[in-house]
Parts: sequence; structure tokens; C-alpha cells
Amino acid sequence: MPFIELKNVSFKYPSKQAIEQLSLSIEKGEWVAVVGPNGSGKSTLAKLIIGLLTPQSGEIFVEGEKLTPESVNEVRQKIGIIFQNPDNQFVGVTVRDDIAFGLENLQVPYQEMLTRIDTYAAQMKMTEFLDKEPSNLSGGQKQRVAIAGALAMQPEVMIFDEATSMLDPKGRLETLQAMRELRAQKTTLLTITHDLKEALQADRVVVLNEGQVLATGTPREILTNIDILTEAKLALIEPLELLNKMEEAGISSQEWEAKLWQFALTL
Amino acid sequence: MKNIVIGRYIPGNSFLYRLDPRVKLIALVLLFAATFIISDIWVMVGALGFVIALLPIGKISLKRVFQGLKPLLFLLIFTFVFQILFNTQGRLLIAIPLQFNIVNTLLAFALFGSWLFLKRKIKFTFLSFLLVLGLIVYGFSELTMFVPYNTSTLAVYETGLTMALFILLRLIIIVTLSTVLTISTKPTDLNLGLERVLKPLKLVRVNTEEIAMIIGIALRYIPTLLDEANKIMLAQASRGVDFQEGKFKDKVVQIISLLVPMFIISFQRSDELANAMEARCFVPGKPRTRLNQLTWKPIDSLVLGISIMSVITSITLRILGS
Repeated sequence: MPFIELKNVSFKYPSKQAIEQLSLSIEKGEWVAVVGPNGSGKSTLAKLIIGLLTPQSGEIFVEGEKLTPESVNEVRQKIGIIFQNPDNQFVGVTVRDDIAFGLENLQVPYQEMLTRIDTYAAQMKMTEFLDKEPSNLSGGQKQRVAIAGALAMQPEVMIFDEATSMLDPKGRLETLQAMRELRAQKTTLLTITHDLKEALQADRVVVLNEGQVLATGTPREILTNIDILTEAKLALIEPLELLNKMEEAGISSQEWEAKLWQFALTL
Repeated sequence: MKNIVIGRYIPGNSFLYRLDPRVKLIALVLLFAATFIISDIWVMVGALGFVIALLPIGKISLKRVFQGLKPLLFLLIFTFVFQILFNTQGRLLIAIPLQFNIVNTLLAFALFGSWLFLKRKIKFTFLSFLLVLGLIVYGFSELTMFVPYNTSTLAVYETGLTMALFILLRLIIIVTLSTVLTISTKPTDLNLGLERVLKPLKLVRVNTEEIAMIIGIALRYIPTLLDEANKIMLAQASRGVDFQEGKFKDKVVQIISLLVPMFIISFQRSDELANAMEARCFVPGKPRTRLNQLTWKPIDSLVLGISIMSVITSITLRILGS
């Protein structure tokens, strides 16, 4: 049974169609990256899964349970989500308060709350910042607080909705590193991005275009397929572009290819 | 602009800082009540002494408290003067005859005109202006060569004076106590205390927790929004908007150029924040456990006891006095 399953889901904003007859399933322990140009419905997809938007047609299942207004709160406990703007998801006055926010909502007992805050702040390397206010933190640090806050609720899947797009390069690297660590702990990950470099790390890449799945496959299959990338208006990553050009010119070797992939993964 | 904090909490360490915010709020209300009950001027002076003695014990600098009083200086002196001039009860203490003639009236008008003109250049406050005005009127009333068209007397009566002192002292006590509260309590703690103190209102279906949540989020976003306002002002300045100078009409346009983007951004922010809160299982009105716990300490009982005692004492003194 897939962990998250979408069946023929459609969603329309008053002004435009966002998601059209989309079906997608995510297995437990998998890292799925959703890529696509602006307006392809990526963020709408995340909001549908977490129940912030209700589809006009189609069904969404999380661990076999159908997402309905009644079950939405139960489902949300299983899913942690990190949004794009680090400032607009910081609820608490201090880092400690913010990590506690979700726990307070889940009615976690006081002592348990203290242990969880310490554990997840340490995991995100924010222990020394626990009493700091958001105005004294960098974008990357705020995003790490958001991750700690989501993890403290002990979700089974983490969604990153363009979580790195508003960060400086350092903050971006920090957040990517956090994703890799979660991956190492076998957390199910759904990362939504328009940056193909981020998608490289995933097990599976789903290309979204105009509210529909254009293609799905391993990063290697998708990111070297120029037709798909052109149709979805995505820019090739430099080393892979080089690889493509070399193949076109008839220069190809296993060794070169392996090295360029390795290089692409470090970006 | 980042340093602007509502209520101006100043970090420190004294028994006032460690006090439970609930106790501080209740004690404040009780002490306010006591100042309104007190009917003897000497008791009031004693109360002021008590409040002032609190400052060094609570390690709060007198300077900071004075800064809190400063914006109210005009109001304080105005009510004082008003009471003295218009309360005509009791024994007559001083009577100053005043005669209005052409010379001092004209001079007064001239001074008023020049004050309007000079107030931008010279820093002399309205109060010192009034003082000079009074001296001119008084000084020139002695010139008998001009026929006075109006003769009146500036009289100070005993009740007027005590009432004026009463109001002055009461205002000073109230402002000082409030300043002590905001200096020694973090806005978030104050909010938490308020939430707990107002809990009985739940019986009349006022959702105090939600109100506290709203205040908490507002406090959290003040620095963020100030930052934003700064950014917009810089962006508008780079497009030629001058926020410093200009006539009233220009000022209105400048404010609009700041307010409109601020409103739009704030609405977007609140929308995203609402999403983030919902995604973290926040359901308005649903019971929550709390990270910030308030613990009642012996000192809290002591302070509460003293506050209740002061109300009882002031009631007793009032009954004995009358």
C-alpha cells in the first residue's frame, strides 16, 4: 500500500485550473522530488495533501485513510510540511516557543514537550539558539527551526514546499543537508522545487506541467531527457548539459559519465 | 527600528522580574484601586514614597521611570494648573490681582504670534511660554497709566491646591506602577499572565486563549513588520519619495505609499501564517497543553498579600478620616 496516494485529483482556483486529473503515489521511505515550472501546480499539490485545499474531484489517501474534513487533523499529524517563506511559518516568539507550538496543539504533556524540544533542536543544531528571537536568526536557521518544529510532532513524511527558494546559498546548503540527514533516517520525503539540483538527490522525480504529471522516473532518466525538460521549461544542470553535448559529439565514456554525475550530485 | 518593543521591557534581575505575571497584574489593579480610595493627602504622599522605595529594591532605574512620565508631563501640569485655577472651595490662600490693559494684551498677542513662528527654531516648550505670558500680564498690570478694560483676580484656594496635588500624585503613582510593570515583564509573559487572569471570562463565552494567541502573534510580528516597513521606505525613497520633508498633503501621499504595500504584504503573510499554523494541527478553540507554565512562589503570595493589605489599609484610613 502506498503511503500517500492521489487518485484523479483535480483542483481549480477561481481564476485558473491548478491540478487536472492527477494521480500519484508515494511509497513509505521513498524520496520523491516534484519539479516543474512556476504555475505548474506544485505548491497546490502540497496544500492538497496536507488538507489546506480540498480537491473538487478525486480522492487523496494517506496510509490508506481517505482525506476528509473529519480525518484532516489526524492526517496532518502524519505529515510535516516546510513552506517557502521562513518568516511566515515562525509562530513562536522564541525558537523554543516555535518548536513547542505544534506540540501544544497535539496536547503533548509538559515533560514530554521539554524532551522533544531538546532532542529535535539538537538534531537541527539549534540548541544554542533556543532562546533567540526570529529577528536574530538567518533564513537558513529559521528554516531549521521550522524543520525541528515539524519533526518534533514526529511525522512519518516530510514535505518541503520550495523550502530553499528564499534562502541564501549557505541557508540552502544547510537545508539540503537537513533533508539528506532525514533521508538517512529513512523518513519519507516529498520535496517540491523548481531547482533540478535539489531533485538529483531523490529516488524518484515527478515532472509536473500544467497540473498534470508529465513524466516520472529516476533522476538519471528524467534529468538527461532533454525533451521532457524542454517541455516543462526546466533548465539543464551544467554538468549534465556537458554530458549531453559530449554524447551528441560522439564522445562518450563510462568513466566520464560517472564523474560528471558525481559532480552534479555535489552541487 | 528593530529595538522598538511594545511596553519597553528592559532585561534585568530582581524580585520584580521573578514575580508571577498574574500577581503583577492583580497587584497593579489593587494598588490602582488603593490610590483611588485614599482620601488624605499625607497618606497619598506616603503611598508615593512607598512606590518610589520600590524602584531601588526592584533594581529599576529612576531615569527609566521618568522617561515613562515625560510624555505625560504636559497632562500632569495642565491638570494641576486647571485644578488650582478653577476650584474655588475652601480657604483662600493667595490672591493676585490682574489687570488687562492695551499694553499687556498686545504684548501677549505679539508673544503668542512670535511663539508660533519661533517654535521651530527655538526649543522652548509650551509651558515656559505660558509662564512668560503670565509674567508679562502680571508685570504690566502695574502700569496704571493705561486704563484697564478688565480686572480679575488670580486666586488659589486650599481645596483647589490639595485636589490638584491629589490628582498629580495619583497620576504619578499610576504611571510609575505601570512603567515598573512593563519594564520588568516580558510582553509574552504579560500576555500569558493576562490570559490566565482573564480566564474567568470564559464563563461568559469570551475565548481568552484565542485573544492571547492573537496578541502573542501580534507581538511576534512587530519586529518583522517594522523591518518590512523599513525596506518599503527605502524602496520608495530610491524612487524619489521623501519621508522627511514636505507639506501635509505630501505627507499623506508618503504615508499611503507606505501603508498600501504594508497592508498587502501583511495580508499575504497572515494567509501563509494561517496555513502554517493549520498544517501544524492548530485548531482554534481546541484545548492545548502549554510550554510556558506559571509557578506560584512564596514571594508571589507575599506581594499579593501586601497589595490586598494596602487596599484594606486605605479603606480603613478613609473611614477613620471621615
